Amino acid sequence: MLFKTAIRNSRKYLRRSIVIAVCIAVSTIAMQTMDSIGEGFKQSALRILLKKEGMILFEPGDDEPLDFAVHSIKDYSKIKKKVKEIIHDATITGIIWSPAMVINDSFSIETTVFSEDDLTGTILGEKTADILKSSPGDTVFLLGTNRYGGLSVFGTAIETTLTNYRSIREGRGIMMPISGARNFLAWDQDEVKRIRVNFNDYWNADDYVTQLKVVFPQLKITSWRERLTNIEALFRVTDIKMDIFSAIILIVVAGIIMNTVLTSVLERKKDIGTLRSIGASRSFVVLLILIEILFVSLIGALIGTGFSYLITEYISRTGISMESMSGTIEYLESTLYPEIVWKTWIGNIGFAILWAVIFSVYPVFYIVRMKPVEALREI
Amino acid sequence: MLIRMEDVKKDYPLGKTIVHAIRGVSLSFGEGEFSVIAGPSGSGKTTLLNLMGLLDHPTAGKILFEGKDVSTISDSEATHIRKKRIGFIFQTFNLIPVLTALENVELPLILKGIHSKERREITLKIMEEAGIVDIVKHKPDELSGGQRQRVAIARALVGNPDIVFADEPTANLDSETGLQIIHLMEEMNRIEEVTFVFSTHDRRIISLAKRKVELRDGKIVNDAI
Repeated sequence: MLFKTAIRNSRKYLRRSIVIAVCIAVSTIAMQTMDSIGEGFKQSALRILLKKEGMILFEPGDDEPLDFAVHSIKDYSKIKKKVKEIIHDATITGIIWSPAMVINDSFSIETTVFSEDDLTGTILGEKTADILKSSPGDTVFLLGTNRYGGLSVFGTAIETTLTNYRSIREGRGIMMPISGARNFLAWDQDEVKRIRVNFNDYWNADDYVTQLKVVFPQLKITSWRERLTNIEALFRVTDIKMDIFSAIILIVVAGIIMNTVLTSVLERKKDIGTLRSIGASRSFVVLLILIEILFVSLIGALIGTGFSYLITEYISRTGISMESMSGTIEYLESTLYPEIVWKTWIGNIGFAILWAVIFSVYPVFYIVRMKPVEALREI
Repeated sequence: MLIRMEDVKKDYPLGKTIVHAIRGVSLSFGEGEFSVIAGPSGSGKTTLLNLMGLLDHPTAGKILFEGKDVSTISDSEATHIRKKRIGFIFQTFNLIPVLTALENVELPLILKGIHSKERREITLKIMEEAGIVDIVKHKPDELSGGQRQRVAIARALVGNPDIVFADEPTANLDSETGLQIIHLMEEMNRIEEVTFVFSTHDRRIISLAKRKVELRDGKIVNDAI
């Protein structure tokens, strides 16, 4: 009977029900869309950051060989093969100390990349390849002087190759393919100091680490979760920014809900007085009105979720261009794609309903605290 | 005595002035009575019924329900007594608009926590006695004034109360329907042996009551059987 009465009341006072439902729908849309964009940002930042830092990182164990006064990992090729057996889509990058850096210990550049798998961004363009008498698609390395006057090795990206070439022409360095750089600097695979492993399923990094530790007990293997403990704090900042936007909408919605519910219960003052006079307790009346609010809010939250889904899907097709912010935020892809986290969305539905209930409490208690005789009065 | 009032007073603030609605009323009603509180508008009839029905507290004096002082009881205690022992009939019927006639009548039984099957049986029986069994599925706005008041009477009686207070139950009805309603209340008083106390200023209806209490300016001026 309580549910039936509450649902019928919501239909009878349809205009007010619509206002409450729209309020809840708007707040649900705000929360869910903001969460999706925030999640997209987090995932994008995480992907870039993890790619740079390594989702799994191999470091020498205590019994690994000493080389250039520091430890290095032996059997790089063997490790690479084994890792691929466990993580099929793994991109494996060996990181070596630049010999130039060791010779000139004043260098600020710590490492350079030694990898056959991770060539993106270092592929030579057609025009530059012609200038260098090389082939398009070759990986080139810039061997140049740094500001301290020593030698340094950098992987070069296609878009910066021409700039670098100009530097070379001015006598500030030379450019050569990777094989040439390897020979020139006498790199050796046994000089690998760290191995970076990246893959798509990075949320399962810890599981992979457990498996890899069994195969390579002599090496120190860590997942990104173990190393990037501050990443949660970085994301919390993103969450806070998104939450502030949602909070503004929620505050406005709270005011509208409180006002609408107050008007609604005052309109039904006589009915409430009648219920109280025939023996309905205050809690019965509170429950009756709150069930109605719950029902209307649930409808609003579900409609809001439907709209949020459509909005998120629409944005996902084109993405949000972040070109204008690319210089200001370090870990940001040029286009941001929102990502739906259903668990969060369901939480948002619950929160929106709770929000409506919380801000209905004052009007509801205002009316039930009235003496029945006052509620029964026509004016 | 079912209900007794001892020198009851009720004052209302009205702006900066105080309205003395009831000025020292002592009155009692026993079981099975069919009594009217008569008087012109503003004489304090509704206030008196509200006080006896535990919808309001007196400013001074005592109200005793079956010997127990109920003039200062808490809201939950008053609600409990109203639910178990008292029925109300209002001038404007006060039916819940979203509920059908049947649902309106069975509402007090729901509040009492009676099981649905038993509830339905009791409700249909009382609706049959009130002559409204054919309108069980109608909502209040689909009913005439007389039918609405019959539903209200059935609702007041369905919980088997000891006393029913009716505040000008015929005021919104034409004279013919008003008489029918009073006859129904009379019949219910006889069949159900429930005490009826109703207010009116309609002379024809006053004459139908067994006991007449006349109220003027918040005081009893006549109490006759």
